Amino acid sequence: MSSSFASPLSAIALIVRRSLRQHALSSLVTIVSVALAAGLLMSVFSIKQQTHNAFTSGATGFDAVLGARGSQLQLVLNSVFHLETSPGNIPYSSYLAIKRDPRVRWAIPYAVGDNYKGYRVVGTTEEFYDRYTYGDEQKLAFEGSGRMFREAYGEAVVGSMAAQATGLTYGSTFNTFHGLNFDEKAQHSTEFIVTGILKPTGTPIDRVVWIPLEGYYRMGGHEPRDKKTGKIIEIKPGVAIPDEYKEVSAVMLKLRSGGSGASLDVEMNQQGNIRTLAWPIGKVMADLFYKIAWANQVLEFVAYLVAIVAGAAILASIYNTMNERRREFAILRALGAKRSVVFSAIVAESATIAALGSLLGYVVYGVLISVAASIVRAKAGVVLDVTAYHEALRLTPIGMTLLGALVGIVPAWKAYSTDVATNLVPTS
Amino acid sequence: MESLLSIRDLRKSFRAPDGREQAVIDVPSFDLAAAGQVALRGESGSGKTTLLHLIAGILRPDSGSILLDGIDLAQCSESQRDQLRAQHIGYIFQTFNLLQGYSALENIELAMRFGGTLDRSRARALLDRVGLADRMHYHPRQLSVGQQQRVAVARALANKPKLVLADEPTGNLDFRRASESLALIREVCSENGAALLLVSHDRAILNSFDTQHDLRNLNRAMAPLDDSYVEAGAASGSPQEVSK
Repeated sequence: MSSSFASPLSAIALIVRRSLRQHALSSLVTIVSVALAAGLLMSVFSIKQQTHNAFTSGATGFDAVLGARGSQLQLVLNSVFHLETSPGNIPYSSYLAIKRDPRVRWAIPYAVGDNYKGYRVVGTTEEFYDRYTYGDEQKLAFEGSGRMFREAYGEAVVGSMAAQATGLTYGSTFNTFHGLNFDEKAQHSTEFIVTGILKPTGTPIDRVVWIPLEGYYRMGGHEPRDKKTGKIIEIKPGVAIPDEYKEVSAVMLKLRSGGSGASLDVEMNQQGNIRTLAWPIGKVMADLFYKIAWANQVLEFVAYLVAIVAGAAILASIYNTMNERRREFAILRALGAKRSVVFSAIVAESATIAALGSLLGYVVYGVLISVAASIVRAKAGVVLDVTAYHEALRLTPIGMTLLGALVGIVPAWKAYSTDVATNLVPTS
Repeated sequence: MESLLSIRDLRKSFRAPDGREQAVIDVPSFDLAAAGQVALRGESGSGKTTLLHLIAGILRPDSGSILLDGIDLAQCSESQRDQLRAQHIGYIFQTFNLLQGYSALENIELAMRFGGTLDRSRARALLDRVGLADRMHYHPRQLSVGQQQRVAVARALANKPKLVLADEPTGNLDFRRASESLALIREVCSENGAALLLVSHDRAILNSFDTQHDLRNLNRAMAPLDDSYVEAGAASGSPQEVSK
């Protein structure tokens, strides 16, 4: 089975294996440093893409948001992602008008301004449960025997994350707190009972405590006021609040078509100056990512630097063994190994360290993206797809292995240049 | 009988520390028959290691020819000499030069890989032949000096070489072990049809050969420089390194 090609390759493989074993500690440390670099590199690119996709894909279940005149981004962050303060309220009549608009498939009002233990409390209508879909047109569902609140009652339903974090369960009673930030002293007196815990959706609604819009108006601090006099309108139990006194923070919209959005955009944002239409939501968020692209570039730059440092670590770890290995190279040459074989063995050793580090880098990547996903989920309710493929997952190991081979050329040249006759004698 | 090894007008010089070119090898003629066994008497400084390195293709002569089975090593490229050495020449060093990170078996298998053919059963058989069947997976540091030398003998024969070079192969052994070792080397060379060119300064070893030469009679070059150069340079074959 003589083969002038396979045998040198198998010899190189054996030399690499034995060298890694002989220098196990330094090899392991270097492999770990490469793993950290590869994992970081893959994570930076993958998390960037996943975050971008999660916030801009439109998988939040809405096409557009109508709100007070102001920043579209603030409106989206506040009403869709429940992250920002509200830019202000709009009259209830605006909600009724947009709901009747033929370009709108459905419209759901939101009233924000309270929290429960730091989680947003949003007033809305029962229609939210009937209309809202997420992901692949999935409808909302309750855990166990839960059900949607009734608008005329002090009932509430709780998003899955909010329930888990606050301890609210089916049948729990609670009082909301005024403001978007939790302040124990700002507790409302109105008590709500939990009628259902929503199943996880992987959208920001998981982080919300939902109450009836009517209930929201009837809480102390949210009472409707007469717009002319500024006086609080007295609300009697069982008596409906006149629409002219009511306001909403935002109206969440599902449109009939893209053209509907375009014409509404012109009508609200360019011709009007009272309300703001954030449409399409994905584009609004994409603009945000565009504005903070420099931050991603900084992260990428740091990740590349770490990768270069890992390459330098490979170079140093192998180069430092060159002196002690001169006799080994001389013996290999005396046995008939060509210079190219010795050279290739060192390059292969360097590339192998980088390749093994890159493989271990997948573990680091798994940990990093899982941590990042849990943070994003906790902070924004958005789910990152940790299993999603990104080109970096393929290119990073290839790139790191090539980098390993490249830096291996320096010590390999030293091995290549080893004088056989001089180094065959033992050194003390 | 036809010569396996034929040397003509072989010359090799090194640059001495003082910058002068110093001839170390000047051998007008030397022949070794196929499967023949010849001993060379070589004292320190006689250029014996340099001569063996030249025959092995590790060093390139300044002039002259070294015909091994009809191929002139002096005309071969370094890569060709490497290949010839791997496939046709076995080399037993005084210090054995076993690879420390490799087992006895791997030392032999690696030599086979360089020769182009890995034959594991032959590698095991060779170790069995030199009495190390139960030490195949031992590393050199786990073996006695005598056992290490036997691994070196087995490794030299790994690729069924036409010629085995032995440089003071018993220099690190006591008298009894040296005799046993020499007998083993000669036997396995005979069994494998390999010619043996052994260099030693031990008279007892030399006298066991039917054919022996004194290297001083073969090599017209004078022993170079001072004693320190002579001792170390003879072992390494590289005066420049010694001077460092």
